[in-house]
Amino acid sequence: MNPRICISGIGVISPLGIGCESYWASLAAGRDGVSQVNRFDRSPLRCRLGAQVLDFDAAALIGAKGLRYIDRLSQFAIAAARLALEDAGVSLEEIEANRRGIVLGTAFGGLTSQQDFNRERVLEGPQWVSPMKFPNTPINALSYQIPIRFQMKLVNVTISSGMTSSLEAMRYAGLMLRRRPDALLLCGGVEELSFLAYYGTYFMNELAGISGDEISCPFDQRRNGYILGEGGALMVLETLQGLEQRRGKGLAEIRGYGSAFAPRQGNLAVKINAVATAMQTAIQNAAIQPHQIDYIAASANSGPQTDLIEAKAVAQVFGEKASSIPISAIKSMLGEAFGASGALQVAAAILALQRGILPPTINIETLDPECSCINCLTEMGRRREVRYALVNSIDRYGSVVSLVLGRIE
Amino acid sequence: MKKEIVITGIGVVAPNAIGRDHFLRALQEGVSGIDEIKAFDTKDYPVHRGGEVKGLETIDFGFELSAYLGRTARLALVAAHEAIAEAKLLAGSLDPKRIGVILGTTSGEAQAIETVDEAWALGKQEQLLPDIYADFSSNIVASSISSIFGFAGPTMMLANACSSGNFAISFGGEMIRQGEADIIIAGGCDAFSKVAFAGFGSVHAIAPEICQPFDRNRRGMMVSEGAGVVILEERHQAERRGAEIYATILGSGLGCDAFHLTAPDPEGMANVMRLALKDAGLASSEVGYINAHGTGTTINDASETDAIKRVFADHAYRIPVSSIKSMIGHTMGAASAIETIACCLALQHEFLPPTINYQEPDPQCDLDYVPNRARFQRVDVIMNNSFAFGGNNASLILGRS
Repeated sequence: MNPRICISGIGVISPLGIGCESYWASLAAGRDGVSQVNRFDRSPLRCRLGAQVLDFDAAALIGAKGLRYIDRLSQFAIAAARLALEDAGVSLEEIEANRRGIVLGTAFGGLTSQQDFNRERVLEGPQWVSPMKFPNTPINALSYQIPIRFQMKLVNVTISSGMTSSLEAMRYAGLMLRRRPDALLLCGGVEELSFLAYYGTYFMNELAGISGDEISCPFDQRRNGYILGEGGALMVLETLQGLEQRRGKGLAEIRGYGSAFAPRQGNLAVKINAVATAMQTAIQNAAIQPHQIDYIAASANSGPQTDLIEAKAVAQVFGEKASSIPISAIKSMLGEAFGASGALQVAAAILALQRGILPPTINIETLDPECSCINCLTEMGRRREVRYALVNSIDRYGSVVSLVLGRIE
Repeated sequence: MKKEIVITGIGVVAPNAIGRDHFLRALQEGVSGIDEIKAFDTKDYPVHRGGEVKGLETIDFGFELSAYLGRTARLALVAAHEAIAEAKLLAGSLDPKRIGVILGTTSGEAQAIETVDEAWALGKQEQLLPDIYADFSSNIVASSISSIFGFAGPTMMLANACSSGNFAISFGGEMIRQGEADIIIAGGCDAFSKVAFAGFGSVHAIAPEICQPFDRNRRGMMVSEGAGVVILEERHQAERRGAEIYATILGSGLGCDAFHLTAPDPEGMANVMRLALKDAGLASSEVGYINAHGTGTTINDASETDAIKRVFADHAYRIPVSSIKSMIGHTMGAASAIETIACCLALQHEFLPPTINYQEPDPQCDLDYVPNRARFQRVDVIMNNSFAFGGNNASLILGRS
């Protein structure tokens, strides 16, 4: 019998707030996390909007020591780690260092640090680059400080797989825990709104004939590309057995994963099938029936095609039930935060499951008739008992991952 | 009963050879792939040599590659193409939904990112082709492979810097063991990175002429590029479908030093070697050869030697240890994957790859490093070490087919 994988703590750094309580308060109230981007000079661009983390006080959250050489992305990661461990009520003394590890997701990694380093290399010359900044340049640099700060020696893995990064990280952590039921893993995803990811997104959107700089309105008729976001959510994962041993309190259980792939060049039906396959596999692995899903945390990010694909796939998996299972797209509030998105959705779904209230999809004026096969939730404060929630992540290059969360029963 | 994971295909692109057969010969003959860097002018850099893959552009796949595929994806594709063909994955009996891709990388499409950064630094961003921004997310590499070959299983990139390859292979094995896929195309890839070239140069970690792991006068590593891909599957499936088996993955040991960003910790290195032995259920005396991380820096090679002694005690002096980085330099995220392939070839062809450029013994590094010439002898169990930034270490243990 496989050990049961539980989530016992959540740490959130998001445009909707730092920490679970403020994150949830904003989510439930349908607050829009999108604002004018002011963190970098965007004068060469026509796009203006982004979902930024605005009230991040690194010194207060992780201490002022050494901050100069820890880039903002890594600061998000360390802060989320600290909040998650606190939320789980883990005292690090009770679990030895060689049982503690981290599995992070990030799509872009330290793009900002790389840009700084490359600017120095080009303008000052390769002999004058800063050796102190060099360790910030690999994709997984955001993970380096966490094991040192929190003494985690079991493993430190980073998954860099676009929008599915954090759900893939959770799958990695789940497989690891089955092999090491005595372990405690920090797991999730972190992303930073960097100038070049921002510029690149805008440029690519232009290519695709969409603007992506108006409004994030998943499933709406007006949707026209995603708004880039940032932030992170890390969670504490442990087996039920480990949780009981340390008398911790679990928040939810990861019941099953599913994944699939459809090439970007593939036709619509193939893509819909892939998303359906990922959801079906996750539900199957959770050993439940589709009708038992009470809530779907959608991947939909206001993309003209991807939202449609997800809606049709939901209809394919749930049949007539599709029109009654509430589904919401929190990227309407958070934008598309790539490697962090899946983790932010998981955090939202767990909070919904805990509190019996569902987060809405905001900015919906007219639901796209093509997406009317689903029950897209737009009202605030909808009460619903959630026993099982389904979380989707769909990447632009073709990977799809789904995850089923359940109450710990 | 633990499912046994075997390797049924290999594909390699290294600075000293492209393709399995050429690579085998290069390892047996101790051929260096280190040369003056040709892709860009190095006059402003403190050193001028490295390991570039030659002739990548002229490879014929028999199919059209999309124009915006970056160099990392191209390196990975060449290696994947070879491994996939050799393992006969497209022969038809396998379900594409059960075939996945997990590749490791340090920097993804580093050259695309560097090109963009350079253009912006110099105010020449208008000259960039928009497609280049597609490469910012490294998973375009794994996704390209699944797209081109029509696989529909788990497709992802893992970024664990210089131990990425071993992490990807170990994770791939676990995915199969736990039923997430039947076949995983696993490995590592990185294109030549100017960031690495400048960064390691700035800390004087790059050797000016040659890479001399474990030599008393070693002066550093060599920045290189490449890709290594292996096909992983469960033994019974491999036997059922008549696939050639190169090697068995007997065990893996993963760990994190939690010590320092860049400085190695011998105890952390020893830890993953012990864990790998434990996972494989082997005594240290059963290991017949160690394929070292052996970068050629003063501190790495001394620390690794120290760590080997901590794990193997007196037996350490009887185990041959060598570093193929002496021939190909440090291919970053590809390194441990290419080294895994070297181990497969060593098991199959009964030889130990040499540490070339070895001239003078170092009192601190006093093991048998298979100096300069390959040794033709049968070996049954090999340990493959990889250590990375952040103290992320991974050792694999491979056995004969």
